[in-house]
Amino acid sequence: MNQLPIYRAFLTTALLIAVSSARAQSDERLVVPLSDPSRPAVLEISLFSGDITVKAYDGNEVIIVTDAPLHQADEEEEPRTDGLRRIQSSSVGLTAEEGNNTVSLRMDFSPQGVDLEVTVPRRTSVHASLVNGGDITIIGVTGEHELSNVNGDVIATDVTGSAVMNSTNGDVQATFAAVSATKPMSFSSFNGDVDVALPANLAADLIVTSQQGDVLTDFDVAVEQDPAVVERSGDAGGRYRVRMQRETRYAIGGGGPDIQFRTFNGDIMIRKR
Amino acid sequence: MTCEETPALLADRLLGQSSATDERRLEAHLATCAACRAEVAASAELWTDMGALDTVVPHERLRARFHAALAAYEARDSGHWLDRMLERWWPRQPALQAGLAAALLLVGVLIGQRLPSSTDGEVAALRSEVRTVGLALLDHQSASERLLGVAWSQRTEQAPEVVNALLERVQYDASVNVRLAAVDALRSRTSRPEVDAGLALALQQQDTPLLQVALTDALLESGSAEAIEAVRRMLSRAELDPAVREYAQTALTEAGADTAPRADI
Repeated sequence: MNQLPIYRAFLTTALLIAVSSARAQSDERLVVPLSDPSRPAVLEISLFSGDITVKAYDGNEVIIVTDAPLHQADEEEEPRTDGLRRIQSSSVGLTAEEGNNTVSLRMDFSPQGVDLEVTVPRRTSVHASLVNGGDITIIGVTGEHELSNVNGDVIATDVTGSAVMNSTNGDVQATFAAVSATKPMSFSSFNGDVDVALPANLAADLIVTSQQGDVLTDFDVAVEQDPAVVERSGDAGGRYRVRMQRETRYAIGGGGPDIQFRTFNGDIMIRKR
Repeated sequence: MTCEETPALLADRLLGQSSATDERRLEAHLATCAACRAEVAASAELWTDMGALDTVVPHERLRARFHAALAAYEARDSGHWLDRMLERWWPRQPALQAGLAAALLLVGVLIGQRLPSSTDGEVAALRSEVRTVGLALLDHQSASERLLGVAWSQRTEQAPEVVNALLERVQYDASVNVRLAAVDALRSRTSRPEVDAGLALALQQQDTPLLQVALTDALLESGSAEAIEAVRRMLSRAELDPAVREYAQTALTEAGADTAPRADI
């Protein structure tokens, strides 16, 4: 994808944060400058366990603050009495990397959670994924956001642009200050609710699917395509055909790009902002 | 008088301009000359016939042509030939001008519609170019662009590479939402063996509950033996989410199919 691999290689700064147990109580702060502050940034965070908060500010650098109770650095390790030395560690290491205006934060698998608070320039697309522990929260950022969590909530507050958000067991909540007129969006949760507030004058097609939840809105919606009635046909040869269309397509503001909402157990709320 | 004088005197007589003296001399000669008598009779008859003919009145079109020719003559060298032609043909009233413009537009459109028989190749090339763009969207870095690619695929013809690209999204896309959208896009194409096989394989491998539900719906909608068997096989997975299990069992029962896996497949 990257067309400037050499450029990127030169610009890439690899930074390892290894926080000693002695400093576990205090916040660790890392400031990452962007390659080109005049252009929008991308923040990529991939954590197994923890809590992720991303806030926009009127600055040009990415500021990472973490209070993780992390491991002892290898060099500080006490010599073992059995004469063995550690050559691989299962301890937590958070790696921050910047290249071509993309800041990546990754952590090796660890059952320990990491609380991560990242302050970013306003024009930053946030791509974050989490499995266990807490929530993903992003506030005030403008860009194309992609957020996915398994056991916690996914919350986007006062964001601009577009978002693709998913949680398996948590809620998905989003309030938009403004929405890209041409970008499709998608919000889904298996067990949680999906609650999205969109600009009142938005023109879009809402594609709504819920197996066991209710769908609520204060938008004036025009039904474009009803769920087809369950139809069933079979023959003696053992072939069956069942139609179980549960999605409904509504137009708001005359229709526009697709915005998909999907839950299994949860409700879907689509609000005017 | 002599025979040579007869035509002149005859003409005067026919025109009613002959004197009494000339008239007497002509009569005297005709009494003696049979040849001149015959000629006078023939000429008089012709004259009478001509008098009986209708007076020819110039037709309106002739008048118009004359005026047009006159105007053209007057306008000659007064400007470019195109100006003169337009001036001659372009109506003066705005309503007529608008009508003529609309008519010309219609003619242009009709000609345009008739012509493309020779540009089918270009249309095909354009379509293939659009397909390349659509397939590139499906492979884009941004999830939103990939969703756009999936939406495009639903509006396009069912080329095999499009179906393959969608199946690839179902299996491997980093975003659950894109995977779900790709399953939806393939729902209209189930009962094609390669689609059923791809969705069945995905159901075997995916462990996201929402996706398992969407795949179950799509496969049972297809209703092929392979599709139903894939749903049954999922039920045998021990780690399956209880809600998904209940949903799939109910759906299988509604489809009139057994929930137990068949031994022969």
